[in-house]
Amino acid sequence: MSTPEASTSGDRATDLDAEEREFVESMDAMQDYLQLQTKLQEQLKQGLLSLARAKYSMGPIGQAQYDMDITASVRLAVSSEEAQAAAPAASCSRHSRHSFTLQKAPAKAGARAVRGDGAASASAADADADADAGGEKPAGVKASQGAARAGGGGGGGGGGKGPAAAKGGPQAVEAEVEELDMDWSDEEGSGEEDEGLREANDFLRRMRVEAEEEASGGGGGGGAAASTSGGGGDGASQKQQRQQRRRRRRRQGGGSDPLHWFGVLVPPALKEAQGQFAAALETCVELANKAQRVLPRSRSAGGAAAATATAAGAM
Amino acid sequence: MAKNANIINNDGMLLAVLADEDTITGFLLAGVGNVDLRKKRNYLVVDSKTSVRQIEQAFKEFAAREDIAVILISQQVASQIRHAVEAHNKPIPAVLEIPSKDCPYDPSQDSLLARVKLIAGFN
Repeated sequence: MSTPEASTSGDRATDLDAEEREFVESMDAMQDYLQLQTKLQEQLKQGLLSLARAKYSMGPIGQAQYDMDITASVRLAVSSEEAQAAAPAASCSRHSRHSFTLQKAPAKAGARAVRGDGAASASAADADADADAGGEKPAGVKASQGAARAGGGGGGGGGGKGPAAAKGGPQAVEAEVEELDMDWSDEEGSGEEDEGLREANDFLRRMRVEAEEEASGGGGGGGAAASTSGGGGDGASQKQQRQQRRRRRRRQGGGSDPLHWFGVLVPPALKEAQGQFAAALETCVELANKAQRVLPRSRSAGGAAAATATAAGAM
Repeated sequence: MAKNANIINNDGMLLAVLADEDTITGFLLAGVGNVDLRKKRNYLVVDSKTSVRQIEQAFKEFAAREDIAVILISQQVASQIRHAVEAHNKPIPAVLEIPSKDCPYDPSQDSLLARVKLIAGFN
């Protein structure tokens, strides 16, 4: 396409070439952009469909169930490519391109369950230990969890958790016990007014202490002694240490799976929705990268760009 | 062409989302949501009760924040604050329009493509 001309217009020819090349690149990028948009739409549609299915099984899902202390587990690393010499002073000018890469924070090991999770299993355990009447009250107290899940589905899961905790492997037990305990240290003294509930709580606590002593082989001798004494004074101080450790870990926040906001037994549709939205997120990042390339970057096209930008800015 | 890649922020930047409740729930499940120490969220649920001014304010806030790299905005919401979206011409944060639950993606409304049209000179 380049026609060799006299030296004076040689520059202009290469400029035109560069412009043309950029134009073609920009058009290609736009085509990819549109294709990615269709792909994103598909993924979003599937994600929303799974979400609707989950809503159908577990009741309404909405803002009320968002946890208040979330930290993003997905972040973007931005790296910029400086445009060639044209605008040396501006590193973030509109002539430089940026590329985004997705970074996932490593998920913390085990179940560092957020409060909501503990609330669900705790209220379920309550409902189980103290028959029916008491079950409603804790469910009402921990009002942050969706009312649709009170008693009902959680009850069976909670009941299974107690004995399962005693049988499970050490790490799993500790994780589950942490889940159960996460909420107790928050709620005890503030939640239950009922005497019967308090007894049930004590019983559960004793069971849990025993289970945990079995699991944590660390304090081997101390553990054996505590388990034989049935979790008396020794158990109390150990429990305090454990609670402190747990509080420290909870403060670290982050890394916990937002899936747990919706309880322990989430419908599989919700997990699917999570996966689909994660895929949609990746497509979004690709789209953002493409969008950077659609806009021409060179100064020559930048002449027109500057004109339109001022026009747009004046809007 | 010499290209030096500078990492602007080593810590990783966030995404902001302005969309309807279900879409936001989905993205929050995927791990996008963040509430910082000042209780500032990086998402805004837009429903029929949200006023245009609130939306515009949130958008401008997200655009001014240093730690947000990409703003995902559903097209429905974007058309409500079209003027603010088009006035935004900083490369960071990048604004990306996503299809919303009720209306599919419409290329004629995407402000990015409108800008390209202007630049390329189509009329």
